[in-house]
Amino acid sequence: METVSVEEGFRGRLSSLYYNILKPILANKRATVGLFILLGFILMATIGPILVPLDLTMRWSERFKPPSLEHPLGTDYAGRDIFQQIVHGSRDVLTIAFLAASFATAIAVTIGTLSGYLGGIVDYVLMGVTDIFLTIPQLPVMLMIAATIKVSDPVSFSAIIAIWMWAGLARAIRAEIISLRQKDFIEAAKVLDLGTGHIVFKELMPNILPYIVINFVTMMRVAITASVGIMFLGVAPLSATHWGVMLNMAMFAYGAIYVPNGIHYALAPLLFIVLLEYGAVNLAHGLDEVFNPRLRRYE
Amino acid sequence: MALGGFLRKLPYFFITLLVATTLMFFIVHNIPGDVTYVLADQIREEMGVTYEEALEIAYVMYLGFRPEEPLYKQYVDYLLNLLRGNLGYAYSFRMPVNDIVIQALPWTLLVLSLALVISFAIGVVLGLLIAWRRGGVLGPVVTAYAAFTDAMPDFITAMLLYIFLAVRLGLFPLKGAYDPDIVPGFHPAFILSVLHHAALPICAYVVEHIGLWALMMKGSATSTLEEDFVRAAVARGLPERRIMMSYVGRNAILPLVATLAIQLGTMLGGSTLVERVFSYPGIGYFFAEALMRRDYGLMQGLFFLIIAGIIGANLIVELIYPILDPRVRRETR
Amino acid sequence: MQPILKVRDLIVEYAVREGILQVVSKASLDALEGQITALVGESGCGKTTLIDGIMGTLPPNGYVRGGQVFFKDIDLLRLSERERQKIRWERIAMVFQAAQNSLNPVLRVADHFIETVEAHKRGLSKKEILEKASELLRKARLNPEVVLRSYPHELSGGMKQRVIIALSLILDPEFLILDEPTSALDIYTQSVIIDLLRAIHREKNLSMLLVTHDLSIVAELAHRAAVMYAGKIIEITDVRSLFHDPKHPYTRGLIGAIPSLIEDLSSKKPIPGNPPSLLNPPPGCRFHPRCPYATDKCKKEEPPLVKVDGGLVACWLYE
Repeated sequence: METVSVEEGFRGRLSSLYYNILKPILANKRATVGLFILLGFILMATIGPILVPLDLTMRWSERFKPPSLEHPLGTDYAGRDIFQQIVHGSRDVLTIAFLAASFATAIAVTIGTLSGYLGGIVDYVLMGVTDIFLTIPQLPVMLMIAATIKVSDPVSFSAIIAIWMWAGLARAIRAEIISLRQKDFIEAAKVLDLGTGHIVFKELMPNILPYIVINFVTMMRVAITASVGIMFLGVAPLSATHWGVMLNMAMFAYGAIYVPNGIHYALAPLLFIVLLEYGAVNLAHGLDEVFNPRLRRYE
Repeated sequence: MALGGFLRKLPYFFITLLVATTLMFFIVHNIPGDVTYVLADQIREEMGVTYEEALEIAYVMYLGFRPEEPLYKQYVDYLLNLLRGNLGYAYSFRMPVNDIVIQALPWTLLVLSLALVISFAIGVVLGLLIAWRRGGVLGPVVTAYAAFTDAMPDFITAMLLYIFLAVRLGLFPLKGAYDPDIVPGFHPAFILSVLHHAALPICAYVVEHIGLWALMMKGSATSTLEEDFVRAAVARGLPERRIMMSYVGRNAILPLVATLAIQLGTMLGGSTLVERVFSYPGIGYFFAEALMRRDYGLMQGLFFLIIAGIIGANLIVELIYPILDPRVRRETR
Repeated sequence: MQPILKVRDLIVEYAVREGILQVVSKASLDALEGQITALVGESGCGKTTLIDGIMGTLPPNGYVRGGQVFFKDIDLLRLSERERQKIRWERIAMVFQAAQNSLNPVLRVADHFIETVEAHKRGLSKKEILEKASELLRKARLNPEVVLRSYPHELSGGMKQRVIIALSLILDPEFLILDEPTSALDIYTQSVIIDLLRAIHREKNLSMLLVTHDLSIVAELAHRAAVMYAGKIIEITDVRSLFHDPKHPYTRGLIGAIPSLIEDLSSKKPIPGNPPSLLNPPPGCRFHPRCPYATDKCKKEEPPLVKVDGGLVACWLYE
């Protein structure tokens, strides 16, 4: 019998990872575009603040300067460099997005799987609760909660956003689990008496993993919108450089947009928000096309 | 009649409303006490009553319950108050929430209904055309457009429109629902002014949602085109137009109608930000004001209105759907 | 008797992901006027594609590559879409397979009749149209008052099938093509439909092309039968000869495989093997891999249809 060394085994798994997952993803244009955009932003959020120092001293004589070599995106109402703020702000935005999506995914997967796998009254109750969360719109509720409870750190802020985000994914996961539950290999696992834990984690989960990843990306995007929106209204000003706060300042304070040169103070965060969301949306759609063959249409 | 679905959903909506109001109740309960005292002061001045009586009035008018009572009684009182139609008191504006609602609701309704109708109508027609003509320029253009607008949240579009069209180019007004110099009434000048002021907010929604409806309709129509009854209609020699409208159109639109209520919910939710951007005095604008001023009375009253509106929209869709899809009706034969 | 429909060397292809799929490869057959001609074959042999090619109802990725189809003297394939629309239903009508989905779920049965007639501009009033429809429905043993008012989902499968047959006759066509009119129906409903078709044929002397894989229907209704295999017509003969003296080895296999109520079942043998993949059909006669009489010539050259005993066979055994 041939044995395989540990290294060969490892290399084998890596190459299968490459061929099965990375290659088709990279072959899909939308996914690649989205992936690179997101990677760019992640880079900006992680390394950016280290490379680009944040200088928040107010120099009123420098206010609303147009983009130049010294200030790539111009200056804001207090003469501070906008580019620095964007870079530092990206860290806030991405942290919140990531945390919120993580929380929401965790909740959604738990509830969806329990509901789909156990069925019966558990399903009925859980789905009833989910439907209520689905009907009540996300933004007003989060705004109200954020306005009432003192939100001081990104984690609790992300939690608030996550609370109203999980409902859609939970329903979808439940549907997937229900359709998988009836498939043959689950029956086989049951007959072999492999245990509920094993069935759930080793058999069901890998099949819905792509789906979860796609929705994670989508939820990051929703979280970005939500956090920017909340900050935009000045309801929970967590940090001075969050893009939502920048927008708030641009629109409502110091008349930035009404001043001829002040436009870039509003446009810069706008542009980056749109770019980031565009990247996320494309990645999600692209991954969907890769992993969901039904979407591929041939002429 | 075809009330089956409607009646079945009714208790569920009721429970949702209850959950929402419970949420609101706890928010209201979190109100820092000094707010009520300030209100009481105001009342004492204006009505010339004693401080205790003013406090009493403040609680009843403002919160709908008395704080000395046990929690569950407060809750019941609060609910009863809502049922009576009293949405509370907006102390930062010094008027009952109902008064604000009467002023603001028509504007939000105007913008949202026009936006929904326009984006739905155009989007659906576009989607149908794209699915019908499998090739053509229209398809990729609309798809690219939709992919792009999909990534832009409502209020970002709103801001861009505001900055460029209102502030920079001065083509549209900067705030308000109509020109304050014009006397309201049913004459052309007023109506034009209203439309002028509503145009950008409507555009903000429409730009965003047209792509959505178009893509949804395209998907639905494409699968409908593969149905047997469409092939049979072609075999029967029916004219193209009839097939496109009565066969593909009417069938493909059904799943979209179900989404109408959800979309309205999203739009209503987003109205807070969009109306704020345009300083358009609708429900959303005042909700944003309530948030910024920490006017919890106004907050919970408007929140209730928003939820009730969404539930109302859902119920209406439940009623309309059987009219469109005969398979869902429960007729006795 | 004149042929009312003449198909000559028809080729129909589909563009699929794996390449070009030729589903109908130079098929030829005649349907005679006043007769019911059956088109017989296994599932997937190309029968439906053949009639789709004739009627012009192919799905978007299908197309006619070559051949001719003559209806009386008109070459159907050379017509413009508009001209073809005129012929559809007025002269040639079609009943689809699994016809239960052929009705628009949001329209009532009556609307289907009205819109079909109005599309062909016959100048009849709604009342007249509905009267004619009622007559046809009654013949199909349906109650017009109830059925006309109904929506498709309110009718059973058998009822819908009869409605569709009635719908196909509303413009008094000269030729009726039916694709598996009795599949997915219970035996009783099947017999009702067979009776209906027989009555229609007798009354109007309507020529029909009946596509089916069910040989019992061929026995009950058809006068002539064309047997199709792997995209080609391999035998055409009258029904009596089909059952008592099948010529082509495939036909023999088909008839031999029919279970009977009285015979010993162990003597029944299925045809070994599977129908060939149409992406890569075998060279020569397409049946040779499964044929007990295959010779070297069969493996290399395709046999043409030749006259044998009043019928046509495509087999080197009958050179």
